[in-house]
Amino acid sequence: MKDSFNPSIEPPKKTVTLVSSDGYDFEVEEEVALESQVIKDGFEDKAVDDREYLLFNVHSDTLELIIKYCEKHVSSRKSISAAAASSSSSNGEEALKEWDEHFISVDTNTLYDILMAADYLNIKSLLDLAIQKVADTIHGRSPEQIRKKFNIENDSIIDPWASE
Amino acid sequence: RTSSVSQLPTYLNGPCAALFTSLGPLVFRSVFWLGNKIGHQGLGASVQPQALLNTTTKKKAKLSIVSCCDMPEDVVYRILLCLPVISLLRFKSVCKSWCSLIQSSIFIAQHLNYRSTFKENYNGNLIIFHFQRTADSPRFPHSVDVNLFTDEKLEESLNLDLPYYCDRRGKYVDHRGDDNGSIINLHMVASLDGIICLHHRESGEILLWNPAIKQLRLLPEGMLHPSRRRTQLHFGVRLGIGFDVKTNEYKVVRILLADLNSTCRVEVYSLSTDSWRIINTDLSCGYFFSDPKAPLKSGIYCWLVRISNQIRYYCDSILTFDFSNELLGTIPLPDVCSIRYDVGSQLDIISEKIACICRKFSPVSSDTERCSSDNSTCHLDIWVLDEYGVKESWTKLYTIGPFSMFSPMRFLKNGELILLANDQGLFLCNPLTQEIKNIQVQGRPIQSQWLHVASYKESLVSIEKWNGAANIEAFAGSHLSNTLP
Repeated sequence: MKDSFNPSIEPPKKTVTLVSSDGYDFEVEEEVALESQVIKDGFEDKAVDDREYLLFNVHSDTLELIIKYCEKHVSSRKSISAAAASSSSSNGEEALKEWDEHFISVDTNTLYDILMAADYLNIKSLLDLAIQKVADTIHGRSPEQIRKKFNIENDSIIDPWASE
Repeated sequence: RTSSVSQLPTYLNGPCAALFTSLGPLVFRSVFWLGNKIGHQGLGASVQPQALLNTTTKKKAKLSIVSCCDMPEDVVYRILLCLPVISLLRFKSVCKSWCSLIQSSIFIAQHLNYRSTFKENYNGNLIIFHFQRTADSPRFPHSVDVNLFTDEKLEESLNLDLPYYCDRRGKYVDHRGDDNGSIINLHMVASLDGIICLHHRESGEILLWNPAIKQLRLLPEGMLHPSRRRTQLHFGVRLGIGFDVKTNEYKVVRILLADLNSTCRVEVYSLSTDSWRIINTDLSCGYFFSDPKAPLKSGIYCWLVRISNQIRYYCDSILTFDFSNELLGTIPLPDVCSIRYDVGSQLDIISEKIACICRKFSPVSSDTERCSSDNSTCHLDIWVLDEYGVKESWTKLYTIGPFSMFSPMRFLKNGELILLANDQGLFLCNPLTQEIKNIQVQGRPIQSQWLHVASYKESLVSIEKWNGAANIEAFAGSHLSNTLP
């Protein structure tokens, strides 16, 4: 009876709503959203019924991926600690690494969107993953390719690689 | 990149309006957080404070990155930190701001300490310096090969092209071989922060070499000279390299051995002054057995030595040199860990602790102890000094073996041990499974017994910048081969 007055108790897990730049609502579990340091920092200051975040730098396509990443990390962290508590051997961390590797193997544009979103939302592990991936993809490039990729104007006086 | 405010009102109903105002500053905050984090992480001992104080260069560079690039500056900075040296050298010509950033001391220090999880690990982890007999060139009986292993399993290796140089007497020293075979006297002393210290034991010349950025520096002649009594002039000289955290510079210590009853003579070279200074000591060492070919925590070099003292005729001990206070000291070995009869014991560093790998022959008899017999077997006891300088903290990690006539060489970061078998080359041993695997360089086993093994991490650290000492013309043809992917 009491429950009907307080709908937030209805689902066992508290949720927050993330709104993408193109106006889509994403309802995610609180602990998933708290993977973002930015949301975590602002979380305490907010009223319980007020947990809606406008992410006007993150497109819905990217946000979907980000949420997928956070959900995976929250759930596998739980299973790893559960395995550690029962002292049963698990290769959870290895599996997660593999999952990460697969997750970040996306096309360049998506990778950059994920990178920018991870930076904006300050999700450290995802940012590290994306930065490493970008480094992996650019290490063999020529300076000219780098300039194009990063949209940098060539102001170098001597450019031995310009002919490439 | 921030979305226009015009699209917001659609969602600005009720509580959302307040949300927007509270989230607004976060957009800008997130950009600066990473910068702060980077400023504090990974700054190890080798950061030069003058670089930290001199923030103007970095500020300038960072500001222009922002203006020319559509990615937050700190994200770009972190991407650059992940890159191998070979890429960074190439990317210096991307734009002026990248160039000054990559050359800045703070970036160099952070890049050095950045534990890259770079997929293809170009950082390298081990250098094997070995001499070759070239059968097809009888005129040049010896040459030096420097191989850098780039993977943990020691299967992939690159050949580092050791620059040939002109010594102070105007003689060319070429690693590819020379007329009189004096190249065999070129030894790899140690490696620190991508800098390899070389010592030519015949001419006494000392070189610093950073293969990743292709720099070679011939150090000036020391003030001390070996005693005439030793026929082979510089064989009684031992060196060590380290970083002085107080003055933030690289230093080389040079110890001239004495006979057992007279004191050593010691001098220190500092890169910033490009000069030697004599250090007073009353220690006397008669014999040096081995050293880890790297300083402990960048700042303390140690050697396994035989020291004479008043109580006993000699005692085997660890000699230490602390680069920040320039003092020599000794640390006793564990009592049971005697190297009296066997010079095959090795000093090493495991997880930033001094480790002693003691070789024991079995069955113990006076004959086998003297390691004269070829079919005797040995065990290796691995001892670790948990607390620096405290004899009681020696702990035996484990014993491995039995082996037939192996010399322990070096521990790798993953806990595997490199062993040298006489005439059979180098082997990689997993202490837990006791599995043993032959180490090959480009498909061939290493034949030579004269070799040096040191851990290595590539770096951008310049050995020329401390002052402009122009000894560049002292060497020619320094180029690094095979480093391009």
